[in-house]
Amino acid sequence: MLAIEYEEIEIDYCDTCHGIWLDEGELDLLFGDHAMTHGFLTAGDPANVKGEAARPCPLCDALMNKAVTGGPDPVVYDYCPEEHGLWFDSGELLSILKHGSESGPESPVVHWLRQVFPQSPPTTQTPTPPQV
Amino acid sequence: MFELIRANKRRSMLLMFGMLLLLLAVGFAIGFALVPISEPVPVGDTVLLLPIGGAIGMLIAFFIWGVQALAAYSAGDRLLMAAAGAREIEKRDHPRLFNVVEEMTLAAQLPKMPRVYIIEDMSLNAFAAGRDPNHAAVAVTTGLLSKLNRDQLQGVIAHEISHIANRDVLFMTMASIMVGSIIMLTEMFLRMMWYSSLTGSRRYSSRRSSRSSDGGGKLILLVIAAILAIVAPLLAQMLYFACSRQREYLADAGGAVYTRYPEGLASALEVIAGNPGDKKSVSKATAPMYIVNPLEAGKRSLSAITSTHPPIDERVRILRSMGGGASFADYANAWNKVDGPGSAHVPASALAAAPTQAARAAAPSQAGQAAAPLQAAAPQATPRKEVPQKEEPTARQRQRDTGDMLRRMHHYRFINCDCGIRIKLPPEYAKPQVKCVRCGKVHNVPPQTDAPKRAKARSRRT
Repeated sequence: MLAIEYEEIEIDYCDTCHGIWLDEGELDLLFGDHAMTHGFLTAGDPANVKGEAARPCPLCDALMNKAVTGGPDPVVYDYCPEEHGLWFDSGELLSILKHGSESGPESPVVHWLRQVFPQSPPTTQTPTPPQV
Repeated sequence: MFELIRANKRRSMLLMFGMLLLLLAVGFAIGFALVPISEPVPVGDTVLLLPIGGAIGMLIAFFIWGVQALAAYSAGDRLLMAAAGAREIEKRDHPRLFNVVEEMTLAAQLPKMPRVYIIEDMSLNAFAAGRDPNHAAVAVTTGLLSKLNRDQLQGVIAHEISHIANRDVLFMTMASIMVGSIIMLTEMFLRMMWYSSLTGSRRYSSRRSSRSSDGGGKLILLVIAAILAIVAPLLAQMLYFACSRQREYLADAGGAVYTRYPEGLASALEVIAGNPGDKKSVSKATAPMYIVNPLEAGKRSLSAITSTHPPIDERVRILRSMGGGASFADYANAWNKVDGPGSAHVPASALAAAPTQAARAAAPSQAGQAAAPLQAAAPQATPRKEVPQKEEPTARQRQRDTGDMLRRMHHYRFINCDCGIRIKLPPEYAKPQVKCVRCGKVHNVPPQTDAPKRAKARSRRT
């Protein structure tokens, strides 16, 4: 995991699996309209949660819970029960980038992510050897 | 404030003395319990019974007390900072914090700038420790650094600096260490009891006959441990009462006087109170030292009488009732107004010495300003250098500054890409190159040159 800062917002990014971690403190800064983004993030049907193994939170190692976003192509992401932040797998991020704006006016978080990841994070790339 | 300083010194002496008596008594009791032999010593024509065990116990107790006192006096601030998990930082780590501490040092006319420590914790708190203004330190949490703006930070630092100027730190540091070591001794005795009862096996010692006489000693030891176990938290509680409320008000007054801007501290207190989350690593012994009691975070609205700190809303109300003034007299008036006449206890010398001064206006847009802390009370103090003020950092910048400082302290490496991305590599990052996610440019990872040097510097300090 390495940290990436752009326009004074910072996310943690894994350059091996291309997942991203949004820190709780960063979320507040990133979400201009907190209520709207929160609405989008929790709009999904929790019934879609299945099959994915629980991931430990990068900060506290507690197993994270799953939640589902709204939009036409709902994304299952992980959030820490201690509210340390949100984890998006690589494909999940791609999907949010694609459909984020369809659920309403483009939210700052999607805009920012588009800025940072202009070419959507590769999902089919030959995997780089795992790093410690 | 000389009355206050003298009282603090006197109280510290009393505390040390009381501690000595307590330890001597405990030492005697334990010694006598373990070795219940008395040696007859002829003094003149009378014969005194000298309890050998008791005497040895008292000697050991005296030794323990000496070590404690020495440690508390010579390295009290370091011990407390270590206990709080604080790390000393340098100016380049966080220039903004350092500037504020420098300004407040000048405003309070301290002979030397206190050392500055950072506590890695997202809760909002701060405390000061030390022996006297020449050997003092202030610590703030990273949460405080990223959540407070400059005026608010200045208010909090000024509050802590006035604890140092009033010599509150001497008493509070001593008291915390004394209480801390009592708690430690208690633990030790309890464990000793536990193991001695376990290891007293008869298998190879055939001490069946002596067990009955031994039992009495153990019983006494147990009773003492129990008493200590009760006394330790009580002592901590007494400490709560002794140190707290009045000093906190006076430190608030100092905070208003040194910054000449009561609103800064008032709003800082509000932010701190409104921010949920207890600090994780706080013991009962050090709790009274923080600007708001970290152990009472959850029940802050209940302004219990047992509280170390005055209720925050009351502190805020007093600060806001100062009616445009920023002197000790104004604070005393506001205090009387809020709590009823006669409640203010501001030392006469402070009221007499500090001339009335007006609070500065709320800093306008360019608030980084923090208008020179007034030096009316210190006409001979070094005039503040006119440095071009940077603009007040936004909440984002504050959070970035603080985060970057922590990352530097943890030996992260930074790469600035031309496309505006800033990559921060953890020390564990082992690949030789890293690709920018935005523009795809491949950067070489700089070698870790900084890490060993700073690690060494830290080990030297501790």
